[in-house]
Amino acid sequence: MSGKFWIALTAVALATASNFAAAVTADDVIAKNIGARGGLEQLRSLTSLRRTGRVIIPHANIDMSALRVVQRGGSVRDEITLQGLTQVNAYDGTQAWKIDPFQGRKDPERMSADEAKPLMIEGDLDLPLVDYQSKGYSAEYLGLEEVDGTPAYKLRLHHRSGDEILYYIDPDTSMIIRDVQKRTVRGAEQEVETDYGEYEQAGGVFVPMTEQSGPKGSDASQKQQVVFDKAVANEAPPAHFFSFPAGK
Amino acid sequence: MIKQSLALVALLAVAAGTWAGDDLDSAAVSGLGARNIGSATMSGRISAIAGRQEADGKVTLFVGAASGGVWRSYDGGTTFQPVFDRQSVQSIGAITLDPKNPKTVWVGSGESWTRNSTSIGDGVYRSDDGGDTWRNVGLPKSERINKIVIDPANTDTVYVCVPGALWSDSAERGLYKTTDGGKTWSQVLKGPNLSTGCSGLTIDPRNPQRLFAGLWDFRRQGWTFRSGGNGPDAASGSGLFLTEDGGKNWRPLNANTAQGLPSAPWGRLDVVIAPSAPDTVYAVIEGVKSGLYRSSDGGKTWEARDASQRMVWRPFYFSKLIVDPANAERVFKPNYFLIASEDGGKSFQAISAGTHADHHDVWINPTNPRHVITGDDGGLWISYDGGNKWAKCNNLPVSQFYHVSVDNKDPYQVYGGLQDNSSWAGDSEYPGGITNGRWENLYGGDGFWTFADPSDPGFAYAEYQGGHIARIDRHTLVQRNIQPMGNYQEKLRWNWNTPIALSPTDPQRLYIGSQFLFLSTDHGQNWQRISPDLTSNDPQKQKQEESGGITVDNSSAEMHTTIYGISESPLDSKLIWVGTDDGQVQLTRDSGAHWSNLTSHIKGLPASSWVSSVQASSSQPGTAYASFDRHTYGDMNPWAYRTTDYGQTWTRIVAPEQGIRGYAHVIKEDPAAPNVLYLGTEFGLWISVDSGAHWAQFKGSNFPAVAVRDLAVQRRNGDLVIATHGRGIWIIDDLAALRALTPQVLTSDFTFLPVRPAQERLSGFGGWPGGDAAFTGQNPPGGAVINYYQKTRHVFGRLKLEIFGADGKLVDTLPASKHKGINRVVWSMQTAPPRVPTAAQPAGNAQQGPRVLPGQYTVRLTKAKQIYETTLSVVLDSRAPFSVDDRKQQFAAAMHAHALFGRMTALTERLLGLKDLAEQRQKLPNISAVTAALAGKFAKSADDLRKQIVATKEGGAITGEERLREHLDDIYGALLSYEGRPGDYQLARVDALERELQEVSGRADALVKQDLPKLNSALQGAGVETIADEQAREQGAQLAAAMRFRQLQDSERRAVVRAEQD
Repeated sequence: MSGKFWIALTAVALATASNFAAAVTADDVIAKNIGARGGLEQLRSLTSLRRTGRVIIPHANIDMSALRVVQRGGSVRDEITLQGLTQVNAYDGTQAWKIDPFQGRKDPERMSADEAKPLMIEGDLDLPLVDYQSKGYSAEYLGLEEVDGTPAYKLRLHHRSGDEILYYIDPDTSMIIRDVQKRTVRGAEQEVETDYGEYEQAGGVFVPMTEQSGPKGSDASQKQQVVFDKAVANEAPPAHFFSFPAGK
Repeated sequence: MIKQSLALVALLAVAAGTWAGDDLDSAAVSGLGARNIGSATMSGRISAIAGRQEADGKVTLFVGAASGGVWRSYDGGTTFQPVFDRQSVQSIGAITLDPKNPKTVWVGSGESWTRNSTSIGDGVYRSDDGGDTWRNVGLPKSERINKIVIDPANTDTVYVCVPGALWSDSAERGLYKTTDGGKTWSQVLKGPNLSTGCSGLTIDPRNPQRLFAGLWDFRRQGWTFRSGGNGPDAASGSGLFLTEDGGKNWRPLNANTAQGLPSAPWGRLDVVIAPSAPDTVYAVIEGVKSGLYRSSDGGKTWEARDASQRMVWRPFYFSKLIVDPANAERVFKPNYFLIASEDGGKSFQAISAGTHADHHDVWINPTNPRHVITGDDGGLWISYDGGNKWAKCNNLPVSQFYHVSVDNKDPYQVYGGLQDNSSWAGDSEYPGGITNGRWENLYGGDGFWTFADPSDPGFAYAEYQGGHIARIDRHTLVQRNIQPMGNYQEKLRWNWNTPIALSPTDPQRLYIGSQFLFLSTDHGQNWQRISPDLTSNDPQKQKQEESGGITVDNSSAEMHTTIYGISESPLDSKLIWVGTDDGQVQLTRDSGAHWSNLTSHIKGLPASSWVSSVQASSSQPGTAYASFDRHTYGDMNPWAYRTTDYGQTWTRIVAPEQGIRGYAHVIKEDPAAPNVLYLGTEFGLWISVDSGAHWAQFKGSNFPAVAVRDLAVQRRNGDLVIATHGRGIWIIDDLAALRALTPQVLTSDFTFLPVRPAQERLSGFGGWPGGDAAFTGQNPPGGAVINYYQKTRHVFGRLKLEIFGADGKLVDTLPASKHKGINRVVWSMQTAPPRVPTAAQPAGNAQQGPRVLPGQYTVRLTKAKQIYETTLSVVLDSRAPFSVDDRKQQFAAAMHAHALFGRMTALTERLLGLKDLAEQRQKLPNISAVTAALAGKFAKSADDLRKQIVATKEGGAITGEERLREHLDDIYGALLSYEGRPGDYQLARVDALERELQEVSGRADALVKQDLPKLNSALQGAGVETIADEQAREQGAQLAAAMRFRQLQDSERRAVVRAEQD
């Protein structure tokens, strides 16, 4: 292939990409993502998702076991266990609560509304992208932006509460490779950036098996890493698994 | 399996042949990452400030750095985020917040404080989400923007005051207006010539159709500048204008049309309407009689007010007026000092107190005029008492380094000088992070080249502007001036940024250049002149005493026809390259006895191009590199050449066609890989792995498009140290991966890349809580780095990264990095933590395993059934005061304690199981009270023994309860705290605890041997299942696991238990 011909082809490719970019909408990107994850029907067939694995806090060299169970209807329970002591963060669709045993107490405590915000997003089995409007979001396509050197579709979901989620979606696979959750906590803005990867199927739906989280812009070596070994779909958790423990 | 070695990589490189270079892009090189070590101690020039008092009591700030982007604070300055890092320029001239839409922010790029080192912008930016994302909405060739004014009645109408290009004529300057929020622009006011732009703009809040604008005629060249015309009497395009119809028509205001204004010619001026009394207008005007003027009738008539030196000092650099939004008599003028008036400009006082100096902007809180913020050459300062006392923001690492060097300490220190911020030495690594306090001020003035004295680490060389070099005693802090002096009736011409160079071959040799090259071999006690005048010696470029335009300004910043770069060959000390600011490239091959001017051999390079850097190759004596900076002629393109024949021929290796942006400051060859080149331009760092044929911009760790003025390679570590002019010092740790980035690697799907041996760095303690309002620089990775290259991002399926010991046993499994290009994963080098019996609180030290022993480890990555392997060498810290044998003793002792934790856990679980099984029997309805009591007593005995092992008091208080587990955690922590040979008393302590554990274990055995049969006999008599010791062990293990996995199904729970027992 001659150099000139290659340049011409590149120009055509760029022009095509440019036209596509100009035409792309938030709903296009969301539809592609839903399709890539397994399709709407498959997504809605999920009733629950349980993932087990480990949490690594690199800068503290701490490695703990992890469990996350999400149930349709907005319930979620996160556990991390160290030396037999299990920290719980849970939300039952209405109320969020936690157990923090690492200072010697195992009493459940209720979370504030601000503290519950990440759990409310985590508890959305379909992710907020599905039916975003009915969940109080508006969506905006912000164009292509580089994530670690490669371009990604950038979407903004703006919640009526004022909180936002930025999604970065890989154009080749249409999978989410990063999100940035911006929320107001005690009147101050917080931004948490999470990278997703190693997608595997559970119940016919692709779910990320690794997550790397930290304050927006923080170095990868400073971020908390979650590595799930196993994802199981549609196994009902025990009754009251997500609820504030009775009698407390 | 694909097994790789460095030899294979090298072989592939040889076989590479020609390569199109398509695979070398930002993604390929940026995964190296970079860490910013600051510092915010000296911070850097702040050129624009905007703020808003929020209804909830907080203050939102947007701060523009002269060459370090836009920083946003939602907490009044306690913390800042850089929000402009993804934009194509970092120089900020103006920031304005939309008064109606709090999420809309306007930024004018390109500062207007037109000092010699100022950067450039590329237009107007708008954000509609509070600064998270930006759009360039126009005026891309404006180069610099002084002010943005929004019509308060209709915020889609915006005026932009554009001084315009500094170094060349340009029609794209003056005052621009949009009425559609930035979609379209029209020029509504322009000057009479192509060097006059806008320098001042103010809008009447009562009548937004009414605006005053100042026009300014200015120009810089490498050797002179003018503000106004070419002297106090020369014609100038500067002027003051008024429009009453939103910019359609303008009326000039001058001595003829508005009584009280000074006579022409004028230089730079600013004009501002007092917001609380719009008939009050102030103007600061540079002229033959520079000063402040005030109108009290909306600009019809004016009267002269303050004309003190503090008001009129260096007008090209200080020309901004700020009036208190609520008090028309309170006026601020940023200047060398920040000065303020409370009597309408009749008198001013310096109020800058403990700030740096050279102020450029002020923000006054409209709801609390005592709350004042100013920015100067040293950063951002906040006052809560109206500007009497100031607190510094130590959280803005926008320091403007000119140069950088490194020493060979471990950790090494970094040296450099900054614009108006002296010369410093800072740590490249420090326990707890590199805080502002880890930087040591060495000298004063503007700082440039700074070096540790390689012959005596107790001394350093530094300079301030104009070649004022000193040798500094780092203990006594005595600064000995050692600048060479001129001979009889001779003026030495020292560049503002005078080059100093160390010899790479002899630690005693020190060079400095005026128009002559000087050499000292005795720390500056004597100097030898080893060249003739190496410049063009063009007298037309030596008229600095006439520089400044209307106001003479001869600070040495425009000194020209000087030497600017010096490089002695690392391969031949007699071979010295010199570059000058007027385009001469000179070479001596006999230590200065003879010089060859090579300039005419550089084909295609316009004459007199400023030689911004020269570097002799480390690999071939005839090879050298030179970068050329032509921005002082208005050419912003990158230029760099290489010669391989001692300068007889040169090849251009840097040009805009290669995708490189910005005028070039420095080019360097990697000392260990001559095919790897680094290029610093005004807009960032570029890397080539094929000797300059192709280049990729480095964007790792959100490295912004900031000016890279100098580069240094720390040879022992193989680190690249980057001096940015606007964002401090950055370090790319360990260039080994980059050096191996051959065309074959770049076209491969996956390749492991080499790393330097991983040192088990000593774990020092440092740092202290200093609040959130201070910058802390990042340390190098705290573990072993694993490098690999991937052609594409990995999205689906596992990417498994495992570490194996020399014995083939799995040591650790790590999450893999997944993006395109070079990936870095950091392994802690730790073994798994011990199994620890559950207690009321975690055993803090036992959360970690000891670090592995030095040796060779295998790294295995599994990707889509493909297995790749490489080796990793783990070594002791080079500073370790102990041997590998000592380390082995420490490891053995720690693992002894580690194993005791495991035995302790097994015993605890056994006792837990016995207790649980006995309690189950106790609760059975069909057993007698006697048997139930016996079971209860047995359960209590088992639990009492367990409580001898672990602390069980809950409640969250400091219980002080210490049992065997807590004692073992103490000694385990002590063993981990130092990796040398443990103390005998420590080993004895482990033995003592083992004995204590053995005793409890013996009592447990006795319980099982003596009491369990009695209980079982009673249970048997009652027809109840007896208790077996093995059953108890399993039950206890299940109970412990259930604490961890109580939510799992039984089958999974058993699997976990089995796995742990294995």
